[in-house]
Amino acid sequence: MLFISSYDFYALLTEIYFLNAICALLIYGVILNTSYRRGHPVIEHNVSGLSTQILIVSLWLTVCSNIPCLTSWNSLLVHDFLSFGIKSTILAISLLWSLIIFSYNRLEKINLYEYWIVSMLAIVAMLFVSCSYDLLAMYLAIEFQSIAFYILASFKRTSEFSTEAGLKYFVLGAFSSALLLLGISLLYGTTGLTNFGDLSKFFLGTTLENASFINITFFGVVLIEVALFFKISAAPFHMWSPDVYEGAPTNVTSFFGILPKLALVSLIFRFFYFCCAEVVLLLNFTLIICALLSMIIGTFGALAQTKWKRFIAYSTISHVGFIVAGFSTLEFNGAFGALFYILVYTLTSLATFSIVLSFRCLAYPSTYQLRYLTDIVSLVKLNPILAGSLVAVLFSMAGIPPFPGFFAKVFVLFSLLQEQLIGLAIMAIFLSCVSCFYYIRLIQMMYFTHTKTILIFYPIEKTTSTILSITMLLLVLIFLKIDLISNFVHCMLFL
Amino acid sequence: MYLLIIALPLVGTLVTGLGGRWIGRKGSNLFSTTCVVLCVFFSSIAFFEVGLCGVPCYISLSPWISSGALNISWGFLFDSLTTTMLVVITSISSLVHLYSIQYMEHDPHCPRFMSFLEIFTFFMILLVTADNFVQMFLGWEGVGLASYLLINFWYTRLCANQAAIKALVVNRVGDFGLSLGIFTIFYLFGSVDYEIVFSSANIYTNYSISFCGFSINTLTLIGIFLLIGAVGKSAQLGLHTWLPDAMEGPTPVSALIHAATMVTAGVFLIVRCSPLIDLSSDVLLLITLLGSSTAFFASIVGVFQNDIKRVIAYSTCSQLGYMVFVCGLSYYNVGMFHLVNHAFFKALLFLSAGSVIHALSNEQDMRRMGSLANSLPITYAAMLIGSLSLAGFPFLTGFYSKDLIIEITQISYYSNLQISFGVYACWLANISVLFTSFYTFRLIFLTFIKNTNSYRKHIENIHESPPLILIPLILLAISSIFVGFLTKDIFVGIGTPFWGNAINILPTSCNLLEVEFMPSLIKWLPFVLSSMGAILAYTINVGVLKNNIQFAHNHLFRKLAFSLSKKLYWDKLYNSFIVSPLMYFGYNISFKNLDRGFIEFVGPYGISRTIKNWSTKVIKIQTGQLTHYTFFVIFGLCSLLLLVPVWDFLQFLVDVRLLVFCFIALFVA
Amino acid sequence: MTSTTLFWIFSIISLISACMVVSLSNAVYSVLFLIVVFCNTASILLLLGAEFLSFLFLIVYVGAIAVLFLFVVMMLNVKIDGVKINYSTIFLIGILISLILLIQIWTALQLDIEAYDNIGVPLSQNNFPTIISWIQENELPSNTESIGLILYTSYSLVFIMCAFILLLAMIGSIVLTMNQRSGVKTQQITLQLYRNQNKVVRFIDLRKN
Repeated sequence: MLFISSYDFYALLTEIYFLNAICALLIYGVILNTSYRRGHPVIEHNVSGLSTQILIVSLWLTVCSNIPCLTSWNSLLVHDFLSFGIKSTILAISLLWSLIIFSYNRLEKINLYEYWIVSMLAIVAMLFVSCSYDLLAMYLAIEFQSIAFYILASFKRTSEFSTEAGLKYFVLGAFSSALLLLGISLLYGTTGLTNFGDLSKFFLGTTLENASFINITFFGVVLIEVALFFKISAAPFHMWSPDVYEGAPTNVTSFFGILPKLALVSLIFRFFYFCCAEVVLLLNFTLIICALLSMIIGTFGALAQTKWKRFIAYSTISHVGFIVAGFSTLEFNGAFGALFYILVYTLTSLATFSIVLSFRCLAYPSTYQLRYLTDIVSLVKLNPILAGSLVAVLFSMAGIPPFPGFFAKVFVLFSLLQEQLIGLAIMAIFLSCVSCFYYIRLIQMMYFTHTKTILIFYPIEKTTSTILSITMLLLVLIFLKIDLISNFVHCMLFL
Repeated sequence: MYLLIIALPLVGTLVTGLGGRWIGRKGSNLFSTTCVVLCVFFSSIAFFEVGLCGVPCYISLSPWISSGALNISWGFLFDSLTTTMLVVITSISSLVHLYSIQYMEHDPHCPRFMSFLEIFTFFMILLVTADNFVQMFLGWEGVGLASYLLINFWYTRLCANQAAIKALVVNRVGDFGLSLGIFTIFYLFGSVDYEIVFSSANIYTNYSISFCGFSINTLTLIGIFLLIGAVGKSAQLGLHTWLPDAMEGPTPVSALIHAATMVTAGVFLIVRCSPLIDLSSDVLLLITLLGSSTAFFASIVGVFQNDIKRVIAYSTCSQLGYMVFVCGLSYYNVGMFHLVNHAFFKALLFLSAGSVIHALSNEQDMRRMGSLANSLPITYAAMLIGSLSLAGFPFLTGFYSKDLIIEITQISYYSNLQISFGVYACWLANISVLFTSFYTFRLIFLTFIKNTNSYRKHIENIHESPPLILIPLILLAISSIFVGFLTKDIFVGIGTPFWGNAINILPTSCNLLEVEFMPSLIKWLPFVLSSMGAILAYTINVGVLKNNIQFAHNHLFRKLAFSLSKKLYWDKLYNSFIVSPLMYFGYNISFKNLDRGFIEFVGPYGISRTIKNWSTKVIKIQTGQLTHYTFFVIFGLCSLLLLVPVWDFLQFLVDVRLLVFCFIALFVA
Repeated sequence: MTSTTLFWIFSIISLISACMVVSLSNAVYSVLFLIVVFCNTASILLLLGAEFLSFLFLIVYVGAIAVLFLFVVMMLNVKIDGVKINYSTIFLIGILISLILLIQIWTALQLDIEAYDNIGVPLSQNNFPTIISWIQENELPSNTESIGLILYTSYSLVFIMCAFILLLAMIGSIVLTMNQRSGVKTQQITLQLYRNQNKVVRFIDLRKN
C-alpha cells in the first residue's frame, strides 16, 4: 500500500480496537434492545459493564505500546510522548469516571444504553484530538467530540432544562466551529499548508522581520484561538458553560467537567507552542486578556452562585483562567505549569464529581439529586467521611498546601513571575484569595452551621466510594511524591 | 558578692511577688527585709573595697545584643560613684522596709507592697551598676515602672490612678529624651559602653551634626538629650508636675522613691556622664539655669501648700534643683555629696510625716493638726532634727553640703572663671534658702506647736508609733546629724582620692579652693537667710502676727498666694495645651476617622463590599438568551482583533497608575 | 459576457440575498433567499473551475439542507410578524463590530507577496483571453477524480472519521427523538413473513343448503 504504512495501524491500535468494540457493542445493543421475544430488555447496566471492560483493554493497549515518535496516516496524526501521556490519562480517568456513573444511571433511571455508546465515541474523539497533527484532523476530531457532547447534553428528553442546555450548546458550538473553520481556511488559504509541522517551519523567523504582511494569517490564527478557547470555556467565550453544566443531567456534567479539557489543552499546547509559535509571540496579550477575564469572571461569578453545577462551572472557568495564564507566558515553564494544572484539575474534578454524585437525598419513595449549595448543611453529622473528603477537595481547589492544587498554582505563578507578567500574577493571587472564600464557605456550611432540619442522605454506592477513596488517596498523599506528576509532565513536554 | 547585691532584691521580689500567697504577710515581710538588709551589708563592704581602698570592680557577664556594629553585653561596674549610690539606696531601702512592716500591717496587700519595693530596689541597683547606657536605660525604665506600681498601690483610688499615669507619662517624655541621647551616643561613638564613650569623648569636642540645615556640636546635642532625661526623672522645671501628685502613694513609697532614690537617678545620670557634659559649656549653662529655676520655683510654691507630704515633696524638688545646678557649675562631687546627705534627712522627714499621719488616723492636712509635740515626742524630735538639717543649721548634715553649694555660687562673681551664669544661680539659690527654711518651720509650727485644729476623736486616739516605725526614725536622725561631718572629707575634701576616674572635671573648673577664701560676711549669708525665714515663720504662725493678718487681705497678696498654691498653673497649662489636643486627636482623628474610617473602608470592609457588589453585577451578564451569548463571542473576537495591531503603542498609553486609580474607584461603585 | 461581469452579478445577488435572509420577517421567504444565495455561490464556484464543489453545493445544500429548513419552518408555523427589534440601542456597537471586520478585510486586501497572488480580487486583473486546452481537459483527472484519488488514500483517516461522525449523528437523532412505546401495535415483518400462505385465505360457504 502506497499511502498507508503498517505503522499506521500500530499507531492507532487503541482507537481501532475501541471503534470496533463500540460498533460491536452497538450491534449487540440494537439487537437486544429491539427484540420482541426478549421483551425489550433494559441493557444499560450490561452495556455499562461491557464498556468499562473496553476501557480497561484499551488502557492496557495504550500503556503497553511503544512510542517511536513518528507521524502516521500521512502526517495527519502524531505519536510522541505528549499524545501517549494524554491518551493514557484520558483512558485511566474515564475508566474511573465510568465506575462513578454506574449507580447514578441506575438510580436516575437512565435506561438508554446509547448513553454509553455516545460516551465511548466521545472518548475516542478525545483520543483523536490529543494526537492530531493536521488542521483537518484537528477540526474533525473537535467536531466529533462536540457532536457527542451535544447529544449527551440533551440526553434527558423529559427535562426542559436538558433540552435547552443541549440546544444552546449546539448553537453556540456550531457557531464556534464555523469560526474555527473560517480560521483554518484562512490559514490554509494564505499558506497552503495544513500540517502542524509544515506550518511551524513556515512561520520560522516571522518575528525577526516586519510582520505586517501576514495580517490575514493573524486573523486566521486569532479565529482558531477564539474557537479553541470557546471549547475550553475561557472568558469571554465561556457563556455556554454555566447553562450547559446546569441543564445537563449530572452524569453528563461530570463527563463535561472531567475529561474534554485535558485533550483540548494538549491540542492548544501543540497549536500554540509548536505550530504557530512565532505568530503567537505577537498575540501574547490576547492570551493575557483571556486569562485575566477568565479568572475575574470565574471568581466573581462563583461567589454569587447557589446551585452546585453552576458553581462548579464557574470555578472551572477560573481554573481555566490559570491554565491560559500559564500558556500566556509562551515559555516551556508556563506550558509545564499549565499541563500540570490540568492534570491536577482533572484529578480534583474526578473527586468533586464523585462527591457531588453521591449527594442523593431520600424523599420517599424516590431519591433525588441535590441541587442547591445550601443543602449540604451539617453534612458532618450525617456522613463525616464524605464531609472530610469534600474538605480535602475544596482545599486542593483553593490552592492550600500540601494538596496538589497548591503546587499547580505555584508552578503557574512562578512561570508568570519569571516572564515579568507581574500584574497578572498579582491579580491571580488576589482572585485566588477571593475564591478561597467561597470554597471555605462550603466547609463552614458543612461543619459549623446548625439547622433544624437535615436532609436524609442516601448511602453511597460501593463503586462510587471506591473511586472516591482512590482519588482522596491521591489528593492527600501525592505531595510526598509530587515528582510523579511533574516528571510525567516534563517527559510529555520535552520528548 | 557584688552580684549578690544585684541578685538578692530580684530573688526577693520574685519570691514575695509570685509566692506571697503562700508565704503570707509575715513570711514576705521577713524575707524581703532580710534580702535588703543583706544588701546593705554587702554594699557597705563594697563601699569599703571600692571607695576607701580604691579598687574598682568590673564584672562582665554575657553578651546581650550583637547586631552588626552594635554590641551590648551584660556587665556591671562598681566604682566609687556606684558604691556611694549603692550604700544610699540599700540603707534607705532597708529602713523603709522595716518601717513599712509596721505601717502597712493593716493592709491586706502587704506581700504585693513588699515585692514592689523589692522590684524598685532591684531596678535602681541595676541602674547604678550598669556599665553601658542600654543597661542603665533598662534600670531607668524599670524604676519608672516601679514608681507607677507603687504610686498606684491603692489602685481603687481614682486620684492614685491619675497620679500614677501622670508620673509614668511625664517620665516617659524624659525617657524619650534619654533614648535619643543614647542613639546619638551610638551614632557618634559607635558603642554604648561607658568605657569607650567616656575615654573617647575628648576626641569629638569639635564634631558637629548637621540636621535640617543646622549644625550642632554633637556633644552639646548629647548633653541636651541626657538633660531631658534627667529633667524627667528628677522633676526639674518643665517635667516636675508629677512629683507632688505622686504623694498619693503610701508614705514609705514617698520616702523611698521620691526622696532618696528615684528622683536622684537624674542627678546620678548627669554625674555619671560628667566626661561628656563637662566638654560642652552650653549644656552646663543650660543645666545651671534649669536647676536654679527649679530650686527657686519649688521653694516659693512650697510656701503655700497645705498637705504635709506635698510640702516635703516641694522641698525635695527644690533640693534636687540645688543638686542639678551645682553639677552645672562643674562641681559634680559636691552634687553627689548633697545627694547623699539629702537622702538621709529627706527620708527622715517623710518617715516622720508618715508617723504623724499614722498617729492622726490618716489626716494629711496640716491645717487640721496642731500641738502634737507632747503626744508624739520622738516623732517631734526626729522631725525637728530633719528640718534643722534641711534648713542648714550649722554643723548638721545639711549645713555642710548646702552651704558649700551656696558658697560655690558666690565665687562665680569672679569673671576670670567664666562661669558668669552662676550669678543667676547665686541669686536664686540664696532666695530659695529663705523660703526653704520658711516653709520647713511653718510645717513644724503648724503640726507640732500651734494650737490644735483637729477632731476630738483623733486627739483621743493619738498614740506614739510602735517601735518598728520609730527605729528607722532614730537611725535616720542619727545619720542626719553625723553623716555630713563624717563624710565631708571623703566626698568634697580638697585633693580627695575617693572619686578616682568616676567623675571628670575639666582642669579649668576645679576651683574648690576659692571657696575657702571668701569674705566671712558672705559665708554667713545663708545662715542669716535661714534664720530670717525661721523667724518669719514663727512670727506669722505663732508670734505677733498670729491674729493680725491684715496683710493677708491685700488684693495683690491674695492673687499671688492663690497662683502659688495652684503651683503657678503649670498643670493647667499642660492639660489644656498638650494633653487635651492629643486626646482629641487620638480619639477623633486617628481612631474614628482613620482607623475605623478610611482604613476599614479601603481594607476589609471595603473589599468585601466591593466584591459582593461586583459578583452580583458579573452574574447579571449571563442573561440566558442565546443571541446575547453569540454577541459576546463576536464581541470578544472583535476586541481581540482590534487590539492586535494596536497593542504595541497602546502599551505606552496605558499607565499602571491609571489602572490602579480605576481599581480604587471600584470601591466607590 | 466576461467572467468578471458574471462574477460581479453573482456576488451582488448573493450578498443582497444574504442580507434579505437575515432581515426578512417571513421565515419562508428567508429560506427561499437562502436558496438563492446557495445557487449563486455554486455559480461562482463554477466560474472558479471547481465544478465538483459547485454541484456538491447544489445537491447537498439546496437539495438537502434548504429542503430541511423549509420542512422545519413549515412545521413550526412561524408567525409572519416577527419580533420587533429596537435597532437604535445596538446601532453603535453594530457599527463598531462591522468596522472592525471591515478593517480586517481591508488590511487583508493589501498584499504584495508573491505567495498570496491567487486570492480574491485578481480575477479582475486577468485581462488576457483564456484559452481552454481541451487535451488537458480530457486527459488530466477531473475535479471529482482528483478529489477521489486523494480522499480515499492519503486522507482516508479523515474520511473514516467523517463516517463515524455521521454514525454518531444518527445515533444521536435516534436517541433524542425516538419514542418506543410498548403498547403500540406495529407491523412485525418476520411474523408476517412466517405466515403460512396456505392457511391465510379460507373459503367459507355461506349458503349451507
